[in-house]
Amino acid sequence: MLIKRKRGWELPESAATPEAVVLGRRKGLALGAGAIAALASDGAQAQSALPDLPAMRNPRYPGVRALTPERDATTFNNYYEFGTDKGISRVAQRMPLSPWTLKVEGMVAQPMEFDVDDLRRRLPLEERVYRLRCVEAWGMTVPWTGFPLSALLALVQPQPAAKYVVFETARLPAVMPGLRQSWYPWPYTEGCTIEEARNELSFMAVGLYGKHVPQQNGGPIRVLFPWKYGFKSGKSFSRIILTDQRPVSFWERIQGQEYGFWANVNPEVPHPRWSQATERLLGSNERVPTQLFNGYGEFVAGLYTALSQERLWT
Amino acid sequence: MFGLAAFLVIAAGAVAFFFGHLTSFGIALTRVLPGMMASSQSFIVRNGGTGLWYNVVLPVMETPCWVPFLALGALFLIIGILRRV
Repeated sequence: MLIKRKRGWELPESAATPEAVVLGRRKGLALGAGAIAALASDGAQAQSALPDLPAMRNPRYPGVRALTPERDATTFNNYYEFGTDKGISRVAQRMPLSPWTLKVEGMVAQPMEFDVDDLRRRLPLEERVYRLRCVEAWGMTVPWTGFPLSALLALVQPQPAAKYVVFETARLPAVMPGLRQSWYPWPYTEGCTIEEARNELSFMAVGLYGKHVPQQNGGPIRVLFPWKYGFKSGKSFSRIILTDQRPVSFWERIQGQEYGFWANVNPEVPHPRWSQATERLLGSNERVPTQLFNGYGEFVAGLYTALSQERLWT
Repeated sequence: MFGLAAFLVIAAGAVAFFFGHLTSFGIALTRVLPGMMASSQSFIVRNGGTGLWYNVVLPVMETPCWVPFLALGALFLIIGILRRV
């Protein structure tokens, strides 16, 4: 007997907003914004307040929670290349975001080098609202603009033997003071399996709150795995490598007992030094229960059914 | 004071033997207490400023792991001698 369970995003056709309404609203917003910009005495200021990376929101990925205020999401960041404090946003502004080259190489049929500005134009962009759960027991809900990681992989055509994807953060010593700390195994690398990379949730973000991703949030291009702890979603990539060897990631190398390869969110498996049962929401400071796979189990639980011997939650 | 100085000199030798004489103090500390460097940096930057971390603490962390022990041992030795005089 076939039992079909509807996922949260499987809406009937009748529930979809008509295209004309959406396009009409966007046109109206654009006209309104243009008029405001023209009338404003400080033109430059008005323009900078306008979204510069508009994309249609994909209703398959509702954030469910209220959006985190942009100011909180962009001023409370983990980015060790700029410092271990959360307030690194000002220091990070020194990093130029354009031009920016991303290489995709390793076990692929077509190794490629992309200019990120070109990549933004080349692949259709969409907006997704994702919940992010940091391993430090805080969370946020933000709208990201980008494209599925699978779309990028399709361009380079992974070889059948490729099993893992490694993400390497750029190393820019002139603007990243943290790189002077030789006890960290730079560059920051993270990895996932090719199956995880091809999952529909795996997303390459080039925008945040309708604008380009700022430096401190991983601009100009980063990856998102919303069902894993945040440190798995690496930032500011200069290189993506496909390989048949399981990578040892940055935090796994430093403290493998606490930060492993899989790092899937599980409220029942505490961090060795604190509980993961709840999380503090940035902005409201409300403490809410953490969900298995950060609430994305319906999309990803199937990836791990045959991996019970692995440390999936660390 | 002389006892403490002798202990630190012996500790310098032991640390060099255990971690390797070219291993930096920061790397040795990270191996023993992986989370300590990040929390120390946050604390120092918050309370003493970025300059204190990058200009004072970082150079010490980048010296070979045995140097801070030997330097402290030498300091205590000198203090001990001065107090005796």
